[in-house]
Amino acid sequence: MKRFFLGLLTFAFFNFSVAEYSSADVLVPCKDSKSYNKRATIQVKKLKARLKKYDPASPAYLAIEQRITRTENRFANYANSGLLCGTDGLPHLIVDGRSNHNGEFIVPAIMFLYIAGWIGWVGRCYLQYAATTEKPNEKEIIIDVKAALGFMASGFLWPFAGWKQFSSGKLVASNDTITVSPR
Amino acid sequence: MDDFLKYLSVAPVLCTVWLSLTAAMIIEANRLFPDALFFPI
Repeated sequence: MKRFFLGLLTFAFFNFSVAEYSSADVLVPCKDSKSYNKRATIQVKKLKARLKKYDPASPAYLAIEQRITRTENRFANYANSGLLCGTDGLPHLIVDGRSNHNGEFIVPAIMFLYIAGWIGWVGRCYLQYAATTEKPNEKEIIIDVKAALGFMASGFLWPFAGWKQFSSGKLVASNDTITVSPR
Repeated sequence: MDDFLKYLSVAPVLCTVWLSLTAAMIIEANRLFPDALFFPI
């Protein structure tokens, strides 16, 4: 089981393709995309047209000015970041594992899995702790905040703690403790 | 005081407090770093 898991991890790790895009591709860098730049111009133009309806010092005027700044910054950041745009003039995230597009999927996915794993591991630790107390059911509805905070603080090491429990056989319950329907 | 702290520790109250803190954190992060389409590396 351990060998299969290690083999699967190795296969997944080395199987990412690192292809370069060619001029025949549909997607082009956003800064070179005519439809993307057209979208930027149209959005800013529409906002500036709305400015004329309000007095210069009014809150609505200031809010729209801030929105114009935010829109211009957004289009500039996306254009300078190496994002690719389609014929629709919208950025398309590349999720096939290319190393120059890591920030679009790989990094957020790893961050998500890390944070979700942290939350799950901490919850598991707290429940296992509650099961050892005098009144486990009460501990699940009236939370022992001190213990919970302690588990939350140490949860950042969850990948190592999980691996340690997996390799020592403590991660999963043994078959003897699992009830099955009569065979 | 102990009873009040115990009340604050009940699941619904703690859940409300915790989710409020989480929402505030996400809202502030989006205020400081708006329009985050990707992770900048």
